[in-house]
Amino acid sequence: MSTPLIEFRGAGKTFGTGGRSGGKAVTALDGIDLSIEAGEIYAVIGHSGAGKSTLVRLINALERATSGSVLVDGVDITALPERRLREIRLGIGMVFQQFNLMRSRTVFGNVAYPLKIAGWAKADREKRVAELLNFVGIADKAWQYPDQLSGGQKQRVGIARALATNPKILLADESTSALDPETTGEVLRLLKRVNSEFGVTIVVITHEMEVVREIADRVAVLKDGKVIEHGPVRTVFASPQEPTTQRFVETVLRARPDDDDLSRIRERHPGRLVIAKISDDRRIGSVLSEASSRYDVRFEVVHGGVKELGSTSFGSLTLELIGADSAVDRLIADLRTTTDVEELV
Amino acid sequence: MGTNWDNLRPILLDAVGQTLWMVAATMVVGGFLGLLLGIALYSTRPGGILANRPVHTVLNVLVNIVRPIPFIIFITAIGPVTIAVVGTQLGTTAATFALICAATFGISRIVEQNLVTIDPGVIEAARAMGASPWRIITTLLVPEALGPLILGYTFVFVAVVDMSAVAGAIGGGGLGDFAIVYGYQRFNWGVTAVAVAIIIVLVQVAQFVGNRLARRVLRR
Ligand SMILES: Nc1ncnc2c1ncn2[C@@H]1O[C@H](COP(=O)(O)OP(=O)(O)O)[C@@H](O)[C@H]1O
Ligand SMILES: [Mg+2]
Repeated sequence: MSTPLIEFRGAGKTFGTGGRSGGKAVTALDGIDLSIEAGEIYAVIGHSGAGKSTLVRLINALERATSGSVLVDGVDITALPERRLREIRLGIGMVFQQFNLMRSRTVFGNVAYPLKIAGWAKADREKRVAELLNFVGIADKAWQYPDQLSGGQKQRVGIARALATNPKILLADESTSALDPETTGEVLRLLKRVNSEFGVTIVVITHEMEVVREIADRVAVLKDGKVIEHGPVRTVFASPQEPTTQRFVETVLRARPDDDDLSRIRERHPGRLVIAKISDDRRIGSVLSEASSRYDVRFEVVHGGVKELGSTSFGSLTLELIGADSAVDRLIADLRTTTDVEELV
Repeated sequence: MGTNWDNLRPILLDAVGQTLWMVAATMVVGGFLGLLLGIALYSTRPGGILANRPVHTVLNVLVNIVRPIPFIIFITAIGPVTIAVVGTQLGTTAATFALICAATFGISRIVEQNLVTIDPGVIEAARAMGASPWRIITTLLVPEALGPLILGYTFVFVAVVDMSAVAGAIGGGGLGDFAIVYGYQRFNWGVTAVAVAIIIVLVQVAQFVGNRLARRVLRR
């Protein structure tokens, strides 16, 4: 494996006295070890207050690590002087939940702003802004002001602005959390294009597992300032290890009936209930139909969800099995030859 | 008692000229210095782009000491400084110097208060783009707060007109002095009324222009 583009080595952040913490020291991040490879979309998920924003701000040194180190493109940025950091920031774009556009400038002016900072000539700036506005699909809004735009349009401006100086890295802190589901989808597809067409490495911060499912290659789960689980999105979805991760996966798959669901299901379905995992390579349908006729067990699908993830689909189904106990046991044994089965008792 | 307007008119015109001069010089010089001091107050506060607790504390205390002093006291108390800078503590220039000093401190607070309303996220975005503090100050803070700043300066204009009426205390002349000497002290209500009317017109015009400008900048 090549050297990672972004690397956290035991990085921690403790906010000192004063400021927001109001006198008490707050440890926002603790011993973070993560490697983000060039060209991937890496998601960091966690609940509010988990330390996600702090983590992403360590990458462009808007916050400095108070322990460990953070390397960007092989350079340890932890102790760099502010002047050098400003150069590094020119190569890192950032997109925000509340867009953070300047009200006093037009769309054009907002997108041109980072180019001015980077010292581009006027003619080059104009050409680049036109290119960017075309790419994000709001060329017709160039002379409008941010308060004349919808949330989705504002975020497109935010993305155009973040890409202006051709950064290698794009940081997106809750970039879709202020948007409705449909607009969220549009913005996520746009981010995916940024990744595939320009090869920009994207770090996506979110509290929504659906966002992770839709665009990320790998994911880290953050809880109380620590990474509790990380890996390829498929692996994490297929077998989440930590309870927090399991609950995040649940929000997308709705695979496991919660207690309310379960009591409702039980009212109508007196048979034994099992949860069977679904994925492309598991032939649950054929095993079920064969076993059900062989053992004379009827089955009913009572709950479940299946989702696409990249090129595969997976999820789980809750089945009601009706028949003699020994027969049901044998059917479950057959099912277990192809997938994970859990009986609800 | 009849008023001899033929004699009074040149004196009145002089007074109007002195007031306009004092107010204009104060708005330009004090306005600029107040802007700088206000930006310094804002930028050095904890969490600011040039956060610096000692500097902030010193500036803050200084502004808090100067601002509450009633101008009639301030204009005389600052006498030694005025002599050092202007060469005399009497006359229109001396009064203008005192006005500029007082206005600088007053305006700095108004500037600071308007800058605080800027969304910190926008400043963070500029930092994330690699903008230096100086660039943030010149290309972001002032443009983003321009609308409220114009309204703030309009408010200050009225206050400076008010303060300039005290200039007579150190022989600075102006409309306030004119109204006292030729109106109040001679029991001539007509003269006082004329001075009041001119000040009202001055303030109305300033307020109108300020509102118009602010509305243009705020696009509403
Ligand atoms: N500037 C700051 N000063 C003090 N505490 C902070 C500051 N920024 C964040 N924190 C604290 O650090 C923790 C993590 O915050 P944050 O990274 O914003 O979490 P998230 O983005 O996951 O919601 C929280 O407890 C928060 O209150
Ligand atoms: Mg956050």
